[in-house]
Amino acid sequence: MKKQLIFRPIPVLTKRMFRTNRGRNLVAILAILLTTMMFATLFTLTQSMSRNLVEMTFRQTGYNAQASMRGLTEEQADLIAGHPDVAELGRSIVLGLAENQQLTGQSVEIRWANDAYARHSYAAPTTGQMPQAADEIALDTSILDRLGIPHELGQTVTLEWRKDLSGEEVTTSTFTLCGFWEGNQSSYSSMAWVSRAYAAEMTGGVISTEESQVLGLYMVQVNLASDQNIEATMDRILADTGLTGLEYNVNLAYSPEMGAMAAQESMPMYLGMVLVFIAGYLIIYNIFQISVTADVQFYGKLKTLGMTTKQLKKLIYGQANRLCIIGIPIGLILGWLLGSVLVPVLMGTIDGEAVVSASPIIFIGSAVFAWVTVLISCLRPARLAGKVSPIEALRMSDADSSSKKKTKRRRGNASLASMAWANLWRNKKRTITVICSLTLGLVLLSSFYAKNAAFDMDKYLADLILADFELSDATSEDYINNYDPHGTTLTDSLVAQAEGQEGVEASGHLFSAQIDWQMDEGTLQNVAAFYTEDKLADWETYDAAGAQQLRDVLETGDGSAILYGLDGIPLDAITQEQYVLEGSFDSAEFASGNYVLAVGPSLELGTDYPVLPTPSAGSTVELNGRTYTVMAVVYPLNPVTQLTVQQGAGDKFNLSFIIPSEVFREQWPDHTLRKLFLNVDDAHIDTVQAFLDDYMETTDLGLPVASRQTMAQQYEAQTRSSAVMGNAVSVVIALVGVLNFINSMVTAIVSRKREFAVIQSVGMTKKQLNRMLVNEGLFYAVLTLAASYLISSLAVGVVVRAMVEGGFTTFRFTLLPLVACTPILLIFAVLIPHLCFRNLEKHSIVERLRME
Amino acid sequence: MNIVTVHNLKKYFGKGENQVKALDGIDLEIEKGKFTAIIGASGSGKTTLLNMIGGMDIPDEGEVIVDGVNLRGLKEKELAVFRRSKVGFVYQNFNLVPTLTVKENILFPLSLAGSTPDPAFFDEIVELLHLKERLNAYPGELSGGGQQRVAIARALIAKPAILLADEPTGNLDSRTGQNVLGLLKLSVETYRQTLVMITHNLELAQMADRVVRIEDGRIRA
Repeated sequence: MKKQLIFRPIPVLTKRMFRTNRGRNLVAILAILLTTMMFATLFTLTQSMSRNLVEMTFRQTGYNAQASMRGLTEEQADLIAGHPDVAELGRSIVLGLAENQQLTGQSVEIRWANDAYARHSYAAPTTGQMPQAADEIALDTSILDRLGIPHELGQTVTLEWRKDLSGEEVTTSTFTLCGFWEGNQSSYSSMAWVSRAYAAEMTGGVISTEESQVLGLYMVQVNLASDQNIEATMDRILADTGLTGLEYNVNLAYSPEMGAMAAQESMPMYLGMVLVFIAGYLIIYNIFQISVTADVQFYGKLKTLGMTTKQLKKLIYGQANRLCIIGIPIGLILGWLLGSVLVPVLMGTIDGEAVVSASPIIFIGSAVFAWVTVLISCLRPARLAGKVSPIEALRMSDADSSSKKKTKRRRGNASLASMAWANLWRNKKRTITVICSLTLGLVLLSSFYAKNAAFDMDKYLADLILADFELSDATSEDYINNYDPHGTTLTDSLVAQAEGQEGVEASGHLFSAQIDWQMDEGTLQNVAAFYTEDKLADWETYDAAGAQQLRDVLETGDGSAILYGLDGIPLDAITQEQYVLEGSFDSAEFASGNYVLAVGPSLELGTDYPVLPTPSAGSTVELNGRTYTVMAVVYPLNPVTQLTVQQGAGDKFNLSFIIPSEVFREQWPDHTLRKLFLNVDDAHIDTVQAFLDDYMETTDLGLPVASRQTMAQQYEAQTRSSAVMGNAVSVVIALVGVLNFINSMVTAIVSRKREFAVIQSVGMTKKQLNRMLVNEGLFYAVLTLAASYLISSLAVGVVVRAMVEGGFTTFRFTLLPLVACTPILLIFAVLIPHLCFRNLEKHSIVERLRME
Repeated sequence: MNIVTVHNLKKYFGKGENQVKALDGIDLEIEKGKFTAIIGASGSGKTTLLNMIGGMDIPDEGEVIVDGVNLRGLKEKELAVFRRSKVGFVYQNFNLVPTLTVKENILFPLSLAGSTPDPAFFDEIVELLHLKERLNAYPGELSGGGQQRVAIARALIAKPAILLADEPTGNLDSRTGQNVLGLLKLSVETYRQTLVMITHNLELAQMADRVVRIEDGRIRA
């Protein structure tokens, strides 16, 4: 027993005090839990975001190695593979592109590749294996679907392709399927792996080092041992192997722009973290401040017994740490789970499964952030406890210690309301903290809501789609092989069936042709005047080739013209008044065939430009041997004019023109329909969709269909996530505010038990006391609401309005969430004091008077 | 030999017409090993004086020297160390830590300093104050007299230079009060401690070696 005389007072006291403060602990743990949860959620989102962004870029570029090279020899590849900095070298030989009818609009590269190349190209067979025998092939499932081949090994696959892309000779090869995998939707092209033996047979063993010759082009993917300093490493590898002449491409995912983009995408998260920190601070600070104030006599007592300031602070931080030990781990788990739920929603648009990062950074980071928040929140309470002089401690009450009280003389009676008001300000700091905490949540909620509400779906969709359904030729948006004007996707029978569907209200057609065009003097002058040297220089920074095309045309006048034959929906859309940039549109005159509409640049609508880079309205142009008068210059609506160039049109600067589809068909009778637009009444949207689904299933899997409904749904799904995100953060912050409010109210009432007994003993009735307490609650609520309405109005009216300026938005002033929260807050304000009061009532006045 | 020397001690509260001169120039010397009782009406300044001697409050003027330590100019932490090493307090309301057991309460000031008591001395004190059976009880489980005995044990354990008691029997009925004071006196004599006690009970004051009367912040002989 004597050995046990030593006891460590601080830990023991910490433990025992912790046990006696159950109510406070519960609130504090909840607050810490919520704070940690939000930190963890935000960390999970940020981490997953950048991971998914990189992954997405990998998928878009089609591979995840650090660098790639093309046009080298096998010996050179061997040298590189042997370098110590190279972890793995993927090798591939290109043969050509599959040109089967069913694959129109889909780029399928026929290649040999080693396992590493396939693996890093997201194209390693998951069933079966890479081809070994000369007649074996491995394909992805989307291509198998296109070809109508079941996902089974041993199936026969026939591919048509040309060894010489400029020649006519078609090679038809038949293979046995030896492996397949799930297609990578993000990539522009799919892979058809063949064996080395087949590649050797086709190329005759000749490796092409000329980039222009596709057959036999040797390509490698360089997997480096480290992601750091990729360019420097590549340069060193080439220098070490004596291959300095070779060029390499660094994977876009590793470019500095990607890093900047990831950082930018993460910005809202960092802002969220700051807000969570503030909210966490406000409540945890308040809890500890209240707790320390309540216990101040106790701390004073400890001081008289010789406890130093440092030891007192240790006691407080010890309590805080204990609360953290319980609150943080639970918060971390909940936060990560919430993050895991939100990540896929947030990544909605990205193809492939969204990866939820479980990186230790999330857990360590959020734990540290939450812990630091708690410690910072305790700074002031701990200082308060430390500063308590043992004498003062014995006198201290709930009120501010240092307030210089001016004696206020109130005339007349002390009304319940004025007493309640005075009580509210007995501890200014606490009241203000609670009001700030609640206001922060409410203002955030209102702002997020107003921001989301400002989004205008119609504006957004107008940029993407004109009609309820848009059907296109398979090559219409094929940016690799370009548009084929003789495409066979939109067959006459399909068009007739589609237009004949019940509920179709309007339709429209788009044809196109691209021709060489010698620009006339007037047009050239306009172009030169519009694209000043400044603009050109700016253009060059992001699209050197495009700027060069323009420079070329300005010198020679040798350009290209794209003619669109339009009728119905697209013509009506593009000739709406707001889209007419110059001249005016007259549909009857236009139908005569003597007029053409020139398509202008994508300018800011509603701004006047002195000159447009097109033929001026009123001038004449000669196109394909026919002379037209330019009726007007129109705005380039994305769904009408932002399509790919035509196959074989060359890389010339081009201008677009619109003519009536009838005139177009006279000129190019063999050009097939490029786009079909259908407007359907609301009741029949589903049946038309069903018809199209059925058509795709039975006739043409590759039919590109865009539907306004799907797009709107997609967009909603996508924005819902960010709305959910923002709302989640603000709801939790508002929740923290409510928690703060409840805690303050309850502790304020409980700590005044004795005072109430005194008031009651001198004659205040239960009812009056209850009313006084309810008044206090209502004052809290009213002050909070006043602050929230004021600040939210400013935040929504000024900040949100500025934020949503431009883009697809229509600003509407709304404080709906605040209006919705108002009754809830008022109910709380009445209910909490009332419940607390009922709890007080359990003890008699005398009992309460005797309480210390 | 004087264990406490107080010289021209002044402490005023408030300002202007509301000013209260709690201590208005006190000169006092207390001899080592003696039992001094300070008496006076409420508000006469006796508690303020005791707090000054105990290093809990800072005088406006004058100085306090306890066991050779001049309290003027001591820093916050030095004062805390002074309190736990040189002074033992016994309060009217006991000031025990409710969450600590009797044993822990007794050991508390010493353990704050990180030191351990002599086990034999601990046993002796516990025995003397009839606490041996209640060491693991919590203060709330003890009677008022019992609690005050714990407070006395706590004050004695560090072998302080001086024991300060502020109305130690004020919260006890008169018989228990007599008992507790008897034990307090016995302990002080056993360990040759100096005791300064505030009281307004003249009967109790008569048990002291010396009685000092304070009126309006001044000593009346």
